[in-house]
Amino acid sequence: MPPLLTFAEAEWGESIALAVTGMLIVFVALGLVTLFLLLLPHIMTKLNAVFPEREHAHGHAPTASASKPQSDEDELIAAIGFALHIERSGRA
Amino acid sequence: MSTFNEFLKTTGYANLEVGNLIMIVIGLVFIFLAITKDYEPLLLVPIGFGIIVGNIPFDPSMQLSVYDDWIRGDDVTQAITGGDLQNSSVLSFIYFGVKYGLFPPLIFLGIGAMTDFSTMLSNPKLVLLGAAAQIGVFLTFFGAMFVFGFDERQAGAIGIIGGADGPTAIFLSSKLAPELLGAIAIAAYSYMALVPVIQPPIMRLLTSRDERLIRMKPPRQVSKREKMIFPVAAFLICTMIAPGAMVLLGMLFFGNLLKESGVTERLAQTARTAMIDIVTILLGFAVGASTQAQTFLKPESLQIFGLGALSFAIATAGGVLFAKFMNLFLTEKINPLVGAAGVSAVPDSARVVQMVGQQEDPNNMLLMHAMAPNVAGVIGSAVAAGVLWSVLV
Repeated sequence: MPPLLTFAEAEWGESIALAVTGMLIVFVALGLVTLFLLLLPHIMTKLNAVFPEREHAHGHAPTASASKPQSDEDELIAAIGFALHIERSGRA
Repeated sequence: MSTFNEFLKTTGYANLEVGNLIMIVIGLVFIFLAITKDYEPLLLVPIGFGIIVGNIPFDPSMQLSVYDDWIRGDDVTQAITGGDLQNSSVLSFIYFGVKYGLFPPLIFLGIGAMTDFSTMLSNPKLVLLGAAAQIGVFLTFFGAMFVFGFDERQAGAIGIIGGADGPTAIFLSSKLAPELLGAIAIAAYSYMALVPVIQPPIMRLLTSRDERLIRMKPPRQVSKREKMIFPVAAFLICTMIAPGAMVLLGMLFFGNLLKESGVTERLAQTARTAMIDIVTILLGFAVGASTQAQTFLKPESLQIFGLGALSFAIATAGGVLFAKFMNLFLTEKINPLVGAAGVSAVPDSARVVQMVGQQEDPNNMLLMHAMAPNVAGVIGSAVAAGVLWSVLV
């Protein structure tokens, strides 16, 4: 009895199956990512109700040592600017 | 005098073949394109110079080539138990990272640390365009087998060029078809550099003017917490389905978590600057140096270049056509041009979308929308590589 499929036909069929399955798997993986992202805002609403989101202690909020000199510097610049303004106004 | 004659026999001039000369010219063209046309200079300059280095002829008794390594074939045991380290070339040590797929995941770590997934998080349906563009990978796989007669492992490695992701192409070909690695890597990076040339005609051909004029809603604000949750969740979702993508996606999402966690800024900074630069230099140079004329200039290389172009074109068309298909069901239409960014090639294909869109309407800002399928394409091509690896290995 002759084989139902020749080797070349079998290989052809296997390759089509691999291409279609591969594409399907990519779609399933990214489809699930899409689904997760669609649900994420709802998950966040629930999550934020239990654990409110706040500024991270380490990464985002400027530390006291980083912000204070900046603030002092701003005040100093403002004071110098004001003094110069008064002085020039007086001269005028 | 005889010593001088002996020396003359060892010079590059004495051993130069036409093939070497052709490859050196190709290397010079790469450098020229990078410098004058600004085509992917960070890649084309190292690759171009690597091609020149790899094609300087030398006496075979000298251990200079990337292929002169201490591991002959796959005999890793020999390397551990007494391989000939002294007779290995310096270039072979650099090439180790390419041959064993070490560099691509490190590049992915850097890409993850510099990628902002916000646009993708704010418009999830655009992720599907990154999946649709992978059709180029699988159709080319098919064509490589049945039109050009490559075996299925080689066809898988060639097909991934359509993912338009150099590191992924190198990673997969190092696993499936190391003998084609040089040609596949050069083809992948060449087409990535040629994104602004290849994609626009296909995009214009497949879209009407009205479609190109579609304006999309600005993306919503994404919270820091969402950005932190995403890399972990997406990694779990994708690699549970395609474990073969674990290394690439693991590094990509790990890099992104370093960026988004807010507590590892130093690590993220290193990953997206110094580390990725070092690896890019080594990878580009080693890939270039592996293209010795004797191993590279074969009919298969030309076929790989042809298939690579086809793969790229199909991937672009796949993304655009799928966006049009999605528009049949959507009330808020997608500009189909953004589908072309699903081919990965971050961020060049997104820039091309912006450029083509602005040719029709200078005030239409498509870049941020195109970044969503663009980064989804990176994930999609890694998943496709994982699938091909797990099935064909």
